[in-house]
Amino acid sequence: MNAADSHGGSAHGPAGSAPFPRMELRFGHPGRRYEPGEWVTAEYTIDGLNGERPRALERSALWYTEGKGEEDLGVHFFERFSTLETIDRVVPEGTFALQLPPSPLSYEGVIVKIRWCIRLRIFFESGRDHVSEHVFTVGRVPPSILP
Amino acid sequence: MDIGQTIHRPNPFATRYVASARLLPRDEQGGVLNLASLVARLDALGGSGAIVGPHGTGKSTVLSHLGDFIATGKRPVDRVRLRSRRDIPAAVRSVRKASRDGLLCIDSWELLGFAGRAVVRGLARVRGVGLLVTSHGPADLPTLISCRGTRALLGALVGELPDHGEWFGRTIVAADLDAALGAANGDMRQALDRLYDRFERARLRMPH
Repeated sequence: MNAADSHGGSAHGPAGSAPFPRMELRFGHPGRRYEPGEWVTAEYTIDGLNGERPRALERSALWYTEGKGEEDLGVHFFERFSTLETIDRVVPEGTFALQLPPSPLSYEGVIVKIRWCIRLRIFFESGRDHVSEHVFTVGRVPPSILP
Repeated sequence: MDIGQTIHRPNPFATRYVASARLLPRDEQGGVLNLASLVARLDALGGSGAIVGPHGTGKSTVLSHLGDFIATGKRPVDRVRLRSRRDIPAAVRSVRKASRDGLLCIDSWELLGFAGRAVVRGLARVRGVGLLVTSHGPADLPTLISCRGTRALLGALVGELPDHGEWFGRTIVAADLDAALGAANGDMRQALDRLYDRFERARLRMPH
């Protein structure tokens, strides 16, 4: 289901279709570590479109839980570009910025983890779409330690 | 600008990777199921059928993918997931609201009880709605497919998890799959839970 993107991102889309485009995202901060309330700047490039016409691009920042149980998720920032004029401004490259909320903080627990990520999702005229996630850290909560 | 490094190591056995809808539907040998042939078999059975097998053997995964597959063929598909007997009214409402000639997918059919199943079956017949259900044991609908947890199936499921090539053979080895399956008594869901814990213990021992 997933194809590893370079630079710590992960990407997924329908299996058995045309090759995935490659979406690279660079954070403005060394080590991708941010404090609550801080501004995140991100610069991205999308390669390998192979002439496929994008229909829309979504840029979002969200947190999600990762673990064994039910999942939770919160979208903090969301933008969608789906008109001819706007899509050319954001594909195949773009920059954006967002201010982080005070919480939740990233957490590396054993049972559950809280992760923040920038998600880029591109939709093509053909109907297929492709998602790329780029994880970053908010705050400095130490990871849990097994006894 | 910082290109950044991988500062987290996702646990590939987390729900977001092993949830039913995210794994491919497979048979007990680990092969990916041919959904078109299952649909043909469902038609041959009269439009209704049961996916039968013990807990954690992939029934919901098959149901989810088969429902999606049928929906892409433009046949209306509705879904109900029963968690307890309190959900029986919701199941009855769903079959009453389902589109004529549509398909209603019901996860955990046995929770309806004898009377509930009879009501839903009767309503479905009258309304021309097909039923596709999961059941732990023989159901009062024809069996579409039987599911069973096997080592081959677990191996195939693990093989499709993210970045498998990077951690399999190191963080998780083949013997871990044997141990997890043995301890889970053939329950794939529980085996994946155990592998989550195993991965987590190994991850925390590794330098960041």
